[in-house]
Amino acid sequence: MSTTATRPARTSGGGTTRRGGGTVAEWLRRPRPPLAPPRWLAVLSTVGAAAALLVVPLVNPSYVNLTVTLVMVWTIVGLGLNLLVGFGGQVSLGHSAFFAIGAYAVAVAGEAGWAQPAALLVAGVVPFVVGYAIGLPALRLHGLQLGLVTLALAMATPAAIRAFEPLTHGSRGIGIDGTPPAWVPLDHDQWVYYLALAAASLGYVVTRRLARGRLGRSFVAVRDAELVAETLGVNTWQTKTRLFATSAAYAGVAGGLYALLLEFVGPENFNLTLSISFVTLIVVGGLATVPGAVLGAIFVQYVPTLTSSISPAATGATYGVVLILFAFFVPHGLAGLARAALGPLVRRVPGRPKA
Amino acid sequence: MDALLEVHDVHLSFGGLQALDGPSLTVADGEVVGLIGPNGAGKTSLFNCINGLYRPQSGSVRVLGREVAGLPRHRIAGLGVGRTFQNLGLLASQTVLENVLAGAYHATRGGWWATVLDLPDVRRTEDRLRARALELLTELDLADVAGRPVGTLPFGTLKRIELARALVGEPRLLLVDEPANGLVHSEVAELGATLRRLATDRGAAILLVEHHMGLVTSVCDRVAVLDFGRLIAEGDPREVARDPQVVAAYLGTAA
Ligand SMILES: Nc1ncnc2c1ncn2[C@@H]1O[C@H](COP(=O)(O)OP(=O)(O)OP(=O)(O)O)[C@@H](O)[C@H]1O
Ligand SMILES: [Mg+2]
Repeated sequence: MSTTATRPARTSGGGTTRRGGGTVAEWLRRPRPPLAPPRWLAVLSTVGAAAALLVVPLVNPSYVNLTVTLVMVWTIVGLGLNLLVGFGGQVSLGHSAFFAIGAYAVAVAGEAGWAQPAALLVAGVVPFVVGYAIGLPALRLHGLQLGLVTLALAMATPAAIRAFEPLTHGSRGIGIDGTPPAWVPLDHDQWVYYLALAAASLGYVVTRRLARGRLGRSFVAVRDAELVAETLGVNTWQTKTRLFATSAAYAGVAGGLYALLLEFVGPENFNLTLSISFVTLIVVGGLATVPGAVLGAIFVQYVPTLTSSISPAATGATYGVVLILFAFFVPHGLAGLARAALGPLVRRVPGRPKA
Repeated sequence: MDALLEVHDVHLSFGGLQALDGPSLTVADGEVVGLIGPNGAGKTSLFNCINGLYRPQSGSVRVLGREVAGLPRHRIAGLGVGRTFQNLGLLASQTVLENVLAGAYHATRGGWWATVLDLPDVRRTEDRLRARALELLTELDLADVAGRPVGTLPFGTLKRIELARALVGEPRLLLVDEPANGLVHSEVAELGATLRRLATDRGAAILLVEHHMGLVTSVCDRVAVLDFGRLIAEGDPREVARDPQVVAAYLGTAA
């Protein structure tokens, strides 16, 4: 009826110390609590990161800004998708569809002469509504079935874009003017960078708040034991639909930024591979972790580029191999590795509050 | 005295099997009622009908006067129904503390907007809840394991964690399914005291399924006996234990 937790007691210590031996594989699989740095260290590293990120576009050539902006775009997708898949346990292979809707929302709004920030807002709202409408029936499904439905969504996206010719201009695509408004003394790449930074920062904070506390616990309860969650008072269907819609909105905003960055959208940008890379992102970064979205985004931006310099066909293979490796050996992803590596250091830092 | 729980003539069948064959039962505020019977008698099934996991084919289950048959499950928790599971319903990936905190979901507020805006009220509620959960863990002798993932702990400890999770939501009606299973002797006595306190001090209504007769006779005000889904006896724990029909039911399965 419900999942149980009746594995026999192990003799090793509480999840964080490496006592009682164990193989490397076991060490990699061990769950670890998030790093809990003392306040001063948290503030210092946040301020440091913020300062660095603010300076980056001012001192770098535009192609660097472009790739860092892409990392932020993927981060936004990952933050939302991890809420749905990592915390909520609902698989989606279809988020390239919402990314596409966001991108086209910006393109169409741009054609209609809307200001870019307003267009980005639309890029979040429309996928939210569409995600909600799709989620209402789809989230009655579980596991494999949900995976298949969302997979179909991703596969149908390029064809659907072509079919909505009057709005999307079919295969010709839509050119977008990504230049900043007249009052902004920035180049195109810098402007989109800052828009992405603002959206990613906001997304990061919102995700962190949702993922902890009362709501975060309800997501995890839905994932780990749905019936038990209901007996605890969680409206599981509503929770799942809201998670789905929210993650769709994240993907949509990211898609909108992507469109502004490339200044063009066409059906071929939004194929199944994109969805697969989103899933790879959250698995590699670390399911059910917030910083994992950043680490996974860095991975999907840089690693396939590296491998495709060896062979253009290598990207798909890289994703495949890496997905398998992480699923089997590093279930907590890069974020889990970061916790393992930094945990002992952070615990030695003075000023840490007693847990 | 108002009955917090009123079960009336509940019928539940699985295919040809009549799991519940019309038992009726009430539990009032501050009362601890034992629900006993041989294996397969329908005790857990009755719990499942009360908190909505099963839907009886006929009969009525009222909590605080509200019929629960048509209510969505999550609303039943909202009426103040807490529950522990016979075979555990813990969140396997989470720590003991997180599991206990999850038990307060229906008893706390803090929706999506309040959480996204990180309103002071949300923080205060969370702080208070954490303090309360740690208090409960200390009371139930679980403070040492608060940070441990539940997957690594023995069964008896997990049963107590489930009880802590049910208690943190301050249930008006508490359904406990074989809580003494896996506990050692001294822990059973403590468990009895905890349940008794909950009923006497907080006025909670408790329905206790238990095979440990010592615990049943020491904490229950009344006992109801199920056999093949039917209520075959009800009354004072000691008298019921001597009832020939009850003795026969138990011997019947023991033979
Ligand atoms: N979901 C189900 N599907 C089919 N049969 C079920 C289901 N749940 C319970 N039953 C049957 O209903 C009867 C009552 O089971 P129930 O679990 O309520 O007994 P119980 O009194 O709790 O027993 P125990 O003391 O062993 O826990 C049993 O015959 C059981 O096999
Ligand atoms: Mg049972």
